[in-house]
Amino acid sequence: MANDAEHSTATRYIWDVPARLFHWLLAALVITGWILGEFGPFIKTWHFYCGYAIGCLVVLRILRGLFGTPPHSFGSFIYGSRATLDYARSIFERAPSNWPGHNPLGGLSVIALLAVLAVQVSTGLFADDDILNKGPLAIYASTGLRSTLTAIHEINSKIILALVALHVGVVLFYLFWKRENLIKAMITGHKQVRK
Amino acid sequence: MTITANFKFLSVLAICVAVVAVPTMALTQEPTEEDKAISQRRAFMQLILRSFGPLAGMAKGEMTYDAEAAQAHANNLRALTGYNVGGLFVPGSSNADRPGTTRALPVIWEKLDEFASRYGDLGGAMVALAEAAGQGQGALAAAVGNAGKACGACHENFRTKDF
Repeated sequence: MANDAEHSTATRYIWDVPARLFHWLLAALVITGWILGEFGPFIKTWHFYCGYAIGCLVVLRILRGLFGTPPHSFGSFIYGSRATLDYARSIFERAPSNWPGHNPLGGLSVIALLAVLAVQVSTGLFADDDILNKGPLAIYASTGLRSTLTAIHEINSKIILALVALHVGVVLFYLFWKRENLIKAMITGHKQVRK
Repeated sequence: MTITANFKFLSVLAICVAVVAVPTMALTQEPTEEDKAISQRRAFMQLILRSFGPLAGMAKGEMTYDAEAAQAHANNLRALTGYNVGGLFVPGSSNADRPGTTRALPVIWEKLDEFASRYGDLGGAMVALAEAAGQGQGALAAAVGNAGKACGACHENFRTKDF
C-alpha cells in the first residue's frame, strides 16, 4: 500500500439512497433505543418500538448483504486475512484510503455491528424485568432461559456502546488523521475513490 | 391353597413396600427454617405480582383502566409493602446457601441497612401509588413507573439475574 500518495482518484457515487437511509435511521434508532433503555422511563414502550424498528433494519441489511450487489453484498467487503492485514498495516499512513466501499477493516466492523444488534434485538424479544416490562416472546421461554437472555441483553448493551464508540472514533480518525471525510460520503453518497 | 398363596404373596409385597418406604420417609425431612423463609419470601413476591400485574397492564394500556379495580390493587400493594419483611430474611437463606431455590444474593445480609432503606422506599412508592391509582390512567401510569423503579432498585443489586 505504498502507492497511496500517487494513485489517481475520482469522485464516484458509492452509497445509494437505501444505504444512506439505512445508516442514519439505524444510527438514530440505536442511540434513541440505547438511551431510553438505560435512562428512559421505567415503562419501556418506546424502547420496544426502537427495538422492533432496528430488528427490521437489520433483517433488511442482512438480505441486501446476501442477495445485493457490491459494495453492499457481504461477499464484496469480506476480505481474506492477507488483504485485511495489509490494510491494517497501512491504516496509520496520513493519507486517505480512497477505498471504493467498505475497506477490509470497515467490513469487519459492519459484520460486528450487525451481529451485536441482531443479538440485542433477539434477546430483547424474550427479555423480562420481572416487574413490568416483558418482551413479546418472553411468554414462550422458560423462567431460566428468560433470565439468561435478559442478562445477555444487559451485557450486550455495553458491547454495543463500545462498538459504536469505536466506529465513531475511527471515523474521526479518518477525518483528522487520514484527512478522509467518510461522514460527508455517507451524507451525499459521493466518495473520492481510487481509479 | 389359594388363600395361603395369596397370603404369602401379600406378606412378601408388604415387606417390599416397607423396605422401600421406611427409608424414603426417613429421608423426607421437615423443611428447615431457611427453606421455609425462602418459600414464604417467594409467596410474598407472588402476592405483590398478583396486584402489580394488572396495574402494570393498565399503565401500559394493555388493559382497560378501571379506577375501582386499580384502587383495590394499589391498596393491597400498600398493605403488602407495609409488612416488615425483616423476619423472612433468615441468615443462611441466600442463593449461595440454597442454590436454585432463591435469587436473594448474600450481599443482602452484608448491607442490611441499605436493603431495609430500599424496602422503605418501595413502601413509600406504594403509598403514592395508592393515592394516584384512582385519579385516572395518566396518574396511575406515572405512579406505576415510580413503583416499578423502586422494585428494580432492589432487584438490581440484591437479586441474581439468573437462578
